[in-house]
Amino acid sequence: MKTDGNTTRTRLRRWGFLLLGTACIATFIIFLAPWIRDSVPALDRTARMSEELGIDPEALIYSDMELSYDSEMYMKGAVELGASEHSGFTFPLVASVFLCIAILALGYKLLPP
Amino acid sequence: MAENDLKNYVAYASVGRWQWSRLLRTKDWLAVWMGFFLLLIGSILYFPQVGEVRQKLEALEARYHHQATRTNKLKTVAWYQLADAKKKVKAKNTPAGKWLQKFSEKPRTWSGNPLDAFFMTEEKVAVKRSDALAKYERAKIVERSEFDKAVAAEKAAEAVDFENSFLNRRAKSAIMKWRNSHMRVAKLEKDTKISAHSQFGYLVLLGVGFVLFFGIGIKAMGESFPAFARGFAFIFGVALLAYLCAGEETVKYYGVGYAPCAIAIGLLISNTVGTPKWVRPAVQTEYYIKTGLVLLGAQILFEKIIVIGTPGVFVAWVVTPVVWLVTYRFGLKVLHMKSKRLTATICSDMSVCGISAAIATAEACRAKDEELTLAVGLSQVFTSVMSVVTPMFIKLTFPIDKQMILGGAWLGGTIDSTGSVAAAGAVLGEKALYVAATIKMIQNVLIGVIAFFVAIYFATRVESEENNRKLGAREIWYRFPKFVLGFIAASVVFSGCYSYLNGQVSGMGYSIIDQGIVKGMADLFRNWFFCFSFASIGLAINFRNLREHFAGGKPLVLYASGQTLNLALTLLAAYFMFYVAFPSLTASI
Repeated sequence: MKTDGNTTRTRLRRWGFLLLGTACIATFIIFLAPWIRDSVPALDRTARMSEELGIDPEALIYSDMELSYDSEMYMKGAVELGASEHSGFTFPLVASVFLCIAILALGYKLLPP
Repeated sequence: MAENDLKNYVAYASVGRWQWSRLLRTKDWLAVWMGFFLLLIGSILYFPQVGEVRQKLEALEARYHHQATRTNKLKTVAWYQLADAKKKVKAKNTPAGKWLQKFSEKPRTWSGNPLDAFFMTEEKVAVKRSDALAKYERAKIVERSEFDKAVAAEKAAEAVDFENSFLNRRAKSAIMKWRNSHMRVAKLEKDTKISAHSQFGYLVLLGVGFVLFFGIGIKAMGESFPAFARGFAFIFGVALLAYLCAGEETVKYYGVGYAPCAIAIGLLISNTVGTPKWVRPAVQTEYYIKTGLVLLGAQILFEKIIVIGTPGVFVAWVVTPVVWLVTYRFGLKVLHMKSKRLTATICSDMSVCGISAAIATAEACRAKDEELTLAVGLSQVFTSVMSVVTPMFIKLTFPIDKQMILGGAWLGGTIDSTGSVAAAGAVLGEKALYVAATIKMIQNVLIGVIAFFVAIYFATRVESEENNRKLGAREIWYRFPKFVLGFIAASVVFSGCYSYLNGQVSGMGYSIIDQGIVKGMADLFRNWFFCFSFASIGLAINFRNLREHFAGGKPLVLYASGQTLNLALTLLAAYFMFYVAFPSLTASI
C-alpha cells in the first residue's frame, strides 16, 4: 500500500516536472524572447534586418537560405566582370585546395592516435 | 547508446569475410540506399527539364547579354536584370515539384497564435495580405525611383565610355542602392502572395510516407515494422513540436533552430516521465541522421568554391583545417579532454559551419549522442552571441572602407551557422552580407573533406590505439562509416552534373541542380530527417550523462579557445588575401 503511494507520488512528481518544463519553454517563447528582443536594441536591429531582407537565421547550410544564391550570383559576376584573371580554377585557387589537403595530411601524421 | 556500442563491437568482432547481405541489413548501407533513392527520384523528376531550361536561359542570354556585358568597369542594370531573370528559371517549378514542396512543408512561422503555423483562414490571410500589400506598394515606389536614378547614373557613365572613374563610382553606388531596395521589394512581394492554408491533411500524409520510407529499412534490418510505426508517430509529434517552437517569429530571429528545440523537448520528456517503451523502436538516431547526411552530400557542390576566387578558398579552406587541428591537439594535450570524439565534434562545430558539420563529424567518428548534443548546445550559444556582438565590434573598430569586405569575410569564416552569418552581415550592409554568405557557402563545401578526414583518422589511428593493436585493411574497412562513402559519392556525382550543366549554358547548374534536385528534393526531406534524429537524441539521453561529458566545463573552454584562434587567424588571412595578395579582385567586389 505504502509502495503504491510512493509510486503514485513519484509519478505525479515526474508529470509535475514535465508540466513545469513545458511551462518554462512556453514562457520563454511567448514572453521572455520578445521581451529580450525589445529590450536589447542590437538584437532588435539584427532581427528587423533579417525580417526585411528575408534572411532565415536558423539556416544550417547555404541551401537553406535563398539569399545564399543571390550572394553567389553577385560574387561570381563581380569577379568574372571586374577581375576575370582571378575567376575560375586559377593556379593559386587550386594550390589553396591542395594546401588544405596537405595540412590535413600533415595533421593525420602529427595528431595523437 | 551502450547497446549500440555493443552491437557495433559484435559486428566488428564477428566479421571474418565480406557478406553481401550487409548491404541491406546495416544502418550505414541502408542510409546510403535510402538517400540515393530520394536523389534518384529527384533526378527522374528534374533532369528531363534540361531541354526546356536550356531554351529559356538561351533566350534570356540573347535578350540581355550584350547590354549586360558592355563594360567590365561595373555591373550594369541589365547585368542585374539578366541575373534576376535567370534566377526565376527553376526546375522545381513543375506541378510535381510544387506538389512535393507542399507535401513536405514544415509548420510555418507564427506569432501570437501557434495554430497559425498549421492553419490560417481566408479572413486572417486577407488582413495580413492587405497589410503586406500596403508595405509592398510603398517599397515599390521607392524601388522605381532608385531604378530611375540607377539608369540615369549608368547613362552618364556610359556617355564617356565608362572611362570616368568618378561617374563609374556614382553609377555603382546608385545601382547598389537600387539593388538594396529591390531586395526588400522581393521579400515584400513574397509576403503578398500569402494564401489560406491547412497543413493537417498533408502532415498526416507526410507522417505515413515517412513510416513507409523508413519502415522498409527497419524491416530489412529484421526489426518489427508495426512497433516502429507506433513509435514513429511519437517521434513525428516531437519533430512537429520542435518546428512549432522554432517557428515562433522572435525565436526564429534569434537563430534558435529546430535542432536545439527537438533536443530540448526530447530531453524534457526522457528526464521527467521517461521515454515510453513503445516509442523506443523508433528512436533510430543513426538511421535518420545518416540518410539526411547522404542527402546533404548532393548539396556539397565543388564548383561553389570558385565563386569569390582564391581569397575565399584560402580563408575558408586553409584557415579552417589549421584551426581544427590546433584546437583538437590543444583539447587533448592541454585540456586533457577525455573523449577524442567529443573533441573532434566540437572542433568541426566551431571551425567549419556549426550544427551541420557537427552532425557529419559526430557520425564519421561515431560520437555518442550526448557528445553531439553538447556540441550543438555550445554552437547555439556562441552563434547567438557572436551574431550580435561581432558586427557591433566591426562597426566600432574597423576602418570604414574595410567594414564590408574584411568584416564580411571575418563574419563568414567565424560565425557557425549560415543563417546567423547572413543576419550579422546584413547589419553591416548588403556587400558584407554577400561576402559573408559566400565565404560560409565555401566553408559548407568543406564539410565533405573534414568528414572524410575524420572518418579515416578515427578508423585507422584512433581505433587502433583503442584496441591496442594495428588494424588490418579488412578491419579498417569494417570500421569505416559507410555512409561517408554515400555522402562523398552524392557530392561527386552532383558536383559533376552541376559543372557539366554550367558548361553547357551559364546558370543551368543553378536551375537544375540547385533549384531542382537540391531545393526540390534533397532539402525538402533532409531537415525533417535531422529533426527526427535530434528528437531521438533527446529521447535517448539523460541529464546525468550529459553532465558527465561537460565535466569541469572543458568543452566550453575548448570551444572558446578554438573560436579565439579562429577569430584571430581568419582576420589575419582575410586581410592578407583581400588587401595584400589580391587587391584588384577586392576592388571588383
